[in-house]
Amino acid sequence: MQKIIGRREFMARGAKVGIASVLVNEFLAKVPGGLWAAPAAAAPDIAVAAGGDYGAAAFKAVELAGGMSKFIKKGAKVALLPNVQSRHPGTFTKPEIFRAVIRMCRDAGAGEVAALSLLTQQHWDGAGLSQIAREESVPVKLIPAEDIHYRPVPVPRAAAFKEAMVPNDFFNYDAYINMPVTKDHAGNRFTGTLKNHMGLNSRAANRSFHKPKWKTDPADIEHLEICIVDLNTIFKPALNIVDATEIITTNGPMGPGELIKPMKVAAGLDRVAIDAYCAALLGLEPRDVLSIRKSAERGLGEIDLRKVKVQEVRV
Amino acid sequence: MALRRWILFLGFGGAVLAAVSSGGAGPPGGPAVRSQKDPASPSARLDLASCLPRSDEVPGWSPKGEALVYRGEDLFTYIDGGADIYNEYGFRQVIVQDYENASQKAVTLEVFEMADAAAAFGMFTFKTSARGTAVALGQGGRLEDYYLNFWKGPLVVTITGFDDSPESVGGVRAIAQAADGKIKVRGEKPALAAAFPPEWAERGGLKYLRGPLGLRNLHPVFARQSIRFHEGAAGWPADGVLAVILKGQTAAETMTALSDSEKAFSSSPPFSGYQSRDGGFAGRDAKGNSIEGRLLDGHLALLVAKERPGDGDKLWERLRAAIAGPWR
Repeated sequence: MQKIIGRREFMARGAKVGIASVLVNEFLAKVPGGLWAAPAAAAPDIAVAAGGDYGAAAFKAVELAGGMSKFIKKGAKVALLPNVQSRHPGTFTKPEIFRAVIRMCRDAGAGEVAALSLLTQQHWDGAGLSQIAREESVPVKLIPAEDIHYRPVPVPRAAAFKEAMVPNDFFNYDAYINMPVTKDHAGNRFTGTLKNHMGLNSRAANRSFHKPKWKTDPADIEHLEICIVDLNTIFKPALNIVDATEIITTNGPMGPGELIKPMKVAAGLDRVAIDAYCAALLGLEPRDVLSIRKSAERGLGEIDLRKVKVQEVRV
Repeated sequence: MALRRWILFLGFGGAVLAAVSSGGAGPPGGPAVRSQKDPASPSARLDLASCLPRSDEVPGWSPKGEALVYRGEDLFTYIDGGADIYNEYGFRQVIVQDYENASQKAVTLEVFEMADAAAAFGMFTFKTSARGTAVALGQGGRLEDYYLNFWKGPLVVTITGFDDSPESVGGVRAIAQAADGKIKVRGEKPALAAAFPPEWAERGGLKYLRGPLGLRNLHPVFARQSIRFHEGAAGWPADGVLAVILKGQTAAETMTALSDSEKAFSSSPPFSGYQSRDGGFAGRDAKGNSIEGRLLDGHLALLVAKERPGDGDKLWERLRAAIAGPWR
């Protein structure tokens, strides 16, 4: 017989898990919408809006997912994590989506909205996001590379990566929204919600994902993807909003490469399911992307899209 | 034949240093070197700044901002997760210069110095596909929607516009032409890649491989495989049929590549129908792609097709002929 877990029991169970997590990792608990969140009954696991107005698509995708106020509490300090790695077409989070998310956070009553980035002003200027930040009066906090700007955070469930180096600034926020662009990646074939979390780990620590013997040692080749999974075990975004509007299918993550235009924005909590959905947009079998497959095996989400509710609309 | 190639290589190496003087950290007033670390170089670095067109060399377009140089491990600072594939082929340094026209359209020129001409050619094949249009620029110039690549000697040159408007693409072509004119060196394709007939490249793009990342990006059938090899080449002998040749530095290493392949395709869950046959193997993945591997004349040859080709024997003969061709 199926047991329906009520919200009170759900919260009690969540709190037990949460307390255990707090003991080993304090900042997991700081993320609203994490272990305590109960998804609204009608909301899809993956909400997708498609159309040529990318800002409108972002608004619609989040609305379908339940609305920003479901994920962001009133007064919360919210950090945004877009991808500005390159300014080549199809390689960065679109400015229109960035603007839409800022406005949705404010409409939901966020007390503060800021962007965090390990990259440089030049990256932000090139992608056109610094202009949006200025127009929307959103501070862009560029984290310098030196270790002093990071806090070591243990990874209790690590298979390979035992200690993350998380920007000190990250701890000043109550929640963060993960905003990758999905695209090709020469190293692990695909990048999306899971890999974008490398933007919350120092560049020096990220370098350790790339082991020196990877050219000859098959275990080293997989090391990058196992580390990505490990890193994701300590983070829990309030929401993932993925730019799948214009994306490169070759020469990623930097480009330039062959461009496809699904013109979609996807929103949801389940990083594995969203990445599985987006991998298919690139013509990839999700199980062939090791970071997605291993994340599913580690219980971070659902890889089988037949088991999740996907709702798509046009705007 | 091999001696001629070696002499050409030596000649071309000298030409590089003459054409683009050895630069070190660059001349006073030259590009900003962003490298934190500058690992000892096995040979003199090229002065890549001399490859950058000045504004009087590209009417209507002017350099915007300073040129940036990234060396060695600092490629990760520039392209982060994209650096591994360059390192697989052999990366030395890159110079990056933005250009802008009067209507503020932007074009970026990147000149990558690779370890040698083979590395440059390989990286060029990784970055290009058969979808583009051949253009008479550099070696193998190829224009795709909004960007253009060519290689020349140890250099890979990429010029990118930020949309596919005629104005941007015109800028891409103009800057490419000016850069091509400033780079005086040439190189030869690696012999293994030269073995493939041109029509094999036209169907889906010729690839020259130097390691597992290139192979993994070649076709989904290799997505989960880890096959160790020294160099390889891939092309399309028939529609929907991918031919791959891999070899080690020694016969023993080539045998390792074969055993890696057998292990990968016999034990991976998505593969079925694995058969060991004639010193090779055959199998099929979950999507119905057939893969066959054989040792041919000291090389590991692989054929991947959606369905096992009806003229498979003929394809194997053509592959054998390519391997045994005059390039050897």
